[in-house]
Amino acid sequence: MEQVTLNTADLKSQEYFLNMGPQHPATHGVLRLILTLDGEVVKNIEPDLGYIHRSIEKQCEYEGYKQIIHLTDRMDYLSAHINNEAVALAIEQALEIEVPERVKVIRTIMGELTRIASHLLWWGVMGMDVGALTTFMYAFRDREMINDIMEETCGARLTMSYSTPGGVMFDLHPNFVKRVKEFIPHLRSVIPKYDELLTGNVIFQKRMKGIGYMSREDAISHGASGPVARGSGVSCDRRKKGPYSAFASRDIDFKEVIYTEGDNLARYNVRMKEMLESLNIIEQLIDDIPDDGIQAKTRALIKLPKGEFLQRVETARGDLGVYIVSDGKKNPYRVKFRSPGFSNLNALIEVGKGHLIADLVAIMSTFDFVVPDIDR
Amino acid sequence: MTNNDIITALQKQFQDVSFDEEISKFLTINVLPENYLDVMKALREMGFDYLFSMTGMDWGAELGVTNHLENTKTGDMVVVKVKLADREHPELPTLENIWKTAHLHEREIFDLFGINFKGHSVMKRLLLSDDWEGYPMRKDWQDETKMIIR
Repeated sequence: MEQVTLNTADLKSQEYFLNMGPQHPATHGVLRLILTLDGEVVKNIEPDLGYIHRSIEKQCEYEGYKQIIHLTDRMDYLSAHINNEAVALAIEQALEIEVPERVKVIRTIMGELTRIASHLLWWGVMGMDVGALTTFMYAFRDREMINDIMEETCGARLTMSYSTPGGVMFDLHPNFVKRVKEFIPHLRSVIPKYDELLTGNVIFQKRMKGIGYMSREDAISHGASGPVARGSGVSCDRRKKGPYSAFASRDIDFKEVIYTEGDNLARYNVRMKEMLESLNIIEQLIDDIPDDGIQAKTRALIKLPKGEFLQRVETARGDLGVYIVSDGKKNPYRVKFRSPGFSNLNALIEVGKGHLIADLVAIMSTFDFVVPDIDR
Repeated sequence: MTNNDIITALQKQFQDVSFDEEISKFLTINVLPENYLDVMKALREMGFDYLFSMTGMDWGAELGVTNHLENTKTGDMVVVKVKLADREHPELPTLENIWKTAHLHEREIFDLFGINFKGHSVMKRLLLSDDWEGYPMRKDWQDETKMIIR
C-alpha cells in the first residue's frame, strides 16, 4: 500500500467568503453581509442591502403629504413615533404652522417613551446576541408597559402614525398620565437589576471592552450619529443641537450622554444612561401638559410652497433627516430620508475589520441596526 | 463663518460657482461637474467635516446630486448641488476619499439614479439585484407592475 506523507510546508491558508444573513439571528432582520475571512478573522465586509427595500422615497412622490407620515412608521419601526414627528415637523416648517403647546409636549413625551422602548428592545437582544438569553425576557416585559400606553392613546402598539401635520391624531387617553407615572419608578427600579444581570458580568465585560473601537474622527467621517457617534465622543444630539417640539419651547434639563472610549462598552453605556435621561425628560413634562388643543388649523389638501425643506430629529438610532423638495403641488417632487442606520452601517464596514466573527456579532449589536431603516 | 465668508472664499478660487440663499434655510452652492471635487475639498478645509447626506436628484433635463454638509463645531450647514446634462452616461468623481460616508451613499445613488462615481471602490448595485434594468428613482422610469405609480 502506498504511504501518504503530509508535508506541512505545503499547507497554506486561504481567504474565503461567508454569507452572514440575510436570515441570520444576529442581523435582526434581512441584512446580508458578505464577509471575507481568514480563518475566523474578518478581512472585509460588503453589505448587500435591499431585501426589505420598498422604495418609500419613490412612493412619497405619488402620495399626498398626509399619507407620507404613514409610510415613515415602516422605516425604523422602533422609532415610529419620532419618524412621524419628523415628517410632521418638516411640513409645519414649510407651511409656517405653529402647533399648540399641548401637541409639542405630547409629541416629546411620546418620543421619549419610544426611545426607551427602542433601547429596551436593543438591550434585550444585545444580551441575547452575546449569549445571555434572560435579558430578552426582562426587556420585553418592561417594554410591554410602553406598548400598552401607546395602544391606549394611539390605537396601535408599534406603527402608530400618531402625529399629523399640525397636531396629533387623538387626544391623550384618560389613563395616560397615571400609567406613565407608574412606569417611571418601575423602570428606575429595574435598571439597576439590568446592570447586575448583564452590565457587570465578567464575560460580558470582556466581550465589550476594547472591542470595535471607532475614533472620533472616523465617526464624523463615516457620518455616524446617535449613540454610535456619542460612544466615540461626538456631541451630536439633535435635541440639544437643533431643538424641536418641547425641547425648543420648554427649558428641559437633561444631559447629552457622551462616552469617549469608542468601543462596544461605550456605545452600550450611552444607551443605558439615555434611558434614564429620557425618564428625566418625561418627568419634567408629565405634570404640565397644557390644554390648548391637539390640532392647529390646516387645509384638507396640503400643498407645500415651492422650495426645499430639511428637518432633522434625534431618533433612537440617531440623526434622521427628512428632506423635501417641493414644486408647489399636492405631492412632493422628491423626498429623501437620510436614515441614521444607513450611515452607521458605513461605519460598521471599517470597524468590523480585523475582528473575529463572534466579535462582529457583538459589534453589530452595539450599532443597533433596524434593517428597514437602512433599506427604506 | 457666515454665508458671505463662504461665498467670498469660494468666488476667489472658482469662477463658475453660483449661490442661492432663497430656496432653503441654508446657503445653496451650485457647482459644475468639473469643479465639483475641488469645491467639496475646499469646503472640507473650511471645516465642513460632516457629510450629512447625499441625495440623488432627477430635475427632468438633468440628473445630479444634492449634498448636505455640516460643520460639527459650529453647526453650520451648506447645500452643494451639481447637475449633469448627460442623462446617458452621467459621471461624477467620488467623494469617498474626503468623507468615508460617501461610500454607501454613492452606491445607493448609482443604484437608483444610474450616476457613475469615478474612482469609487465598489461601484455596484446596492439595493436592487445585479440584473435589474433601469434606474427606478428617475422620473422617466416606467413602473410596469403598477405597484408604485398607479
